[in-house]
Amino acid sequence: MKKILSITLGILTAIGGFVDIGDLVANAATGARFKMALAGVVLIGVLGIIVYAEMSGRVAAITGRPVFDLVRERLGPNAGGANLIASFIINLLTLCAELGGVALALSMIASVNYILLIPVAAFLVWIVIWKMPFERMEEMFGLLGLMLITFLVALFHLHPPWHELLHSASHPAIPKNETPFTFAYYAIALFGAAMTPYEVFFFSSGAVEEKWTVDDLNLNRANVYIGFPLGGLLSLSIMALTTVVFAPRMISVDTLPQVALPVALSVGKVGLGLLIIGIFAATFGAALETAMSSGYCVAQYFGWQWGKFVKPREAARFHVVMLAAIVATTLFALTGVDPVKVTEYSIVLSAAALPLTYFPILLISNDRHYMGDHVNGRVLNFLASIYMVIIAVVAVVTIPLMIITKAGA
Amino acid sequence: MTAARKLWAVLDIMDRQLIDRQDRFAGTVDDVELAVADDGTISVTALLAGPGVLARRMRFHRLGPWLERFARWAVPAESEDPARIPLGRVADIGSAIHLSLDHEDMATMATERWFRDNIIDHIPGSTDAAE
Amino acid sequence: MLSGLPCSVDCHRVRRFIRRLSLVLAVIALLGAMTRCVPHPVGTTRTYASYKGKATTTAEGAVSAARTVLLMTHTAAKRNAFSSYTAMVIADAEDGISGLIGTFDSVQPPNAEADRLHERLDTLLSSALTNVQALRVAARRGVVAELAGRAGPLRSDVHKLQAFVDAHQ
Repeated sequence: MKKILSITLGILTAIGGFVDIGDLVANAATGARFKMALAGVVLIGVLGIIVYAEMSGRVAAITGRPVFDLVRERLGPNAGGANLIASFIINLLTLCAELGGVALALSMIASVNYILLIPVAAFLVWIVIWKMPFERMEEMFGLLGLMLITFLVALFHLHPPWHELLHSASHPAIPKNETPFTFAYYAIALFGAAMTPYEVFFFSSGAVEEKWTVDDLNLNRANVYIGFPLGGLLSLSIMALTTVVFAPRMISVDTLPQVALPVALSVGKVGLGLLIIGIFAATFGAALETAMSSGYCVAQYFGWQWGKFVKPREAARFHVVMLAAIVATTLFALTGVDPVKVTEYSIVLSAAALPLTYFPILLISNDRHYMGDHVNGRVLNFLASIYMVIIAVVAVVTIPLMIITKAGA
Repeated sequence: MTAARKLWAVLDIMDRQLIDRQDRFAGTVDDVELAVADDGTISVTALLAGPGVLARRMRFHRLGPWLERFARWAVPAESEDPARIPLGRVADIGSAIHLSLDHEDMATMATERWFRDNIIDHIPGSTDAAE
Repeated sequence: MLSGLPCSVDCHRVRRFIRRLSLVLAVIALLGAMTRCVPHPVGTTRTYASYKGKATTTAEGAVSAARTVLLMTHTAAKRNAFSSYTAMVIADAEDGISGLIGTFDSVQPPNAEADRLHERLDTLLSSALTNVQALRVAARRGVVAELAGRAGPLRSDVHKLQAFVDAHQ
């Protein structure tokens, strides 16, 4: 019984943990601009994160070794170090975006300029990392993040033309005032939003934090196979909402509060209130995950003690890295950079950097010396290899596309 | 253990996580010390782990010796070269390498100690157990 | 030490390191470029055609912001949103329009025809800005229910801006 409860909890947190500011912005923006034409990319991204997270969760459960530990071991200190720097910078950018999201969510209720709330958000993130036990932290923000289901409710309440949405999704066409390049650029943004590397750093380190073993493999699978698809469903409902409400009015999504407008229109104040709580929890949870991921990846590369399963003073360098990451991103956010722009860059660069961490995990999960009988099965390995190709192609085309489209402008 | 004394095995343990006798993470295998016997066979005599060792291996020629001096200064004097882990101290080699050492005596703890004493200990709640 | 052996694993790693390093440099360069990014692809122009293109992009942005405000006032009038949220959405749109005006004004019109185009669009944009401002003030004061009634002038701005876009596409 206790097992079932913990599986349910894991699934719920996976749903809440899947959607972050990247998914909110990317799905809302593409829905308004391309209707459901890019819905297929969300499905590809969700399947990709399932494959990636399942492998890294399984590797962590069997070997006790999280992602960056293995990156260093497989790539050596030089390539691993360059990988660390790239991942760390993108992670900081994501943390900055999430902090902006937390501050914006607070200011939607509090009538205070969001810039003033950024230090508050940053302090809250730090104090939760410093004080709150790992599992309680995951449960609390995962469950509150479930309020994002309001998106789905709002969509149903609008009685949208389902067949048109479905047709737009199954017959993707580039709108006549868009180029194939912007279309491809937004596809990459959606892919990066679904397959953000920090989710996997956090997921695999979390498996070690929670002391997973072989017996927890089913918990791993349940989290991944049920939680992420439901998170993908939320992403698609955001896209459908802006398709229905914004696209016909030629409204483009430039700010985070705009994302909540279709929900207010559809289900009113109560829905809006629940949604804002959901946005707060989802971005706050993601801010925790990215801040901790910055500590995880540095500490694991150097082999330092890390984790919330020990006292902070026993993992001093880990805590110093996280504190420094939070301070640095807060200062960057206070310069007044547009959180939506930061989000867009962070997800696109995440997509470009995916092969760096995906490849070592793919190697290890096929290595019998480490995994024994728990190496990738045939079907999974076939899928995982296809994704290796997709990810490599995405990484190669991202930067040129970014330049051609002037970052999707 | 005999397998681990062969060169191919050595390459395999490079960059692997070290774990001390109380199951605490204690750095990674940053390099290994090799000895060539009279008959030409090469064997491992020690694992090397510490900030200076890694910097040297990555060819940061100034940073390496500086970090080594720092490590020697920061780690209690009883260990002559805190970065050197004799093979006899290796208890088990798996996906991580378990040592029969206390991480306090290792060079990999030098910076940890500094950050702990100078930053983390000054923040209230640093000794609270997380759960 | 390993570095003393003939071609250790490090040889390959160095080569890989150089490849990875170029990627990292690209990322850092992009980050640097990002801080200088403008929200709209508006810069210097030499021909009337490209000036017209920038004018259309600007007008489209203004239509998007103004329509967001109209949708917001419609929603608020039905008491479907908090006043803090309403004011925030309207203020964001206001910032958006004034940003568009600033960027568009900084473009040098290439000829007399472009001057006339600039003047027409500028009139439309400032009218929209004024009307959005009025709605933001009302929303901040909490007279949310009356917002829809006061949105008439902005609605006509949107029609004119949309006509501008359609005429110059």
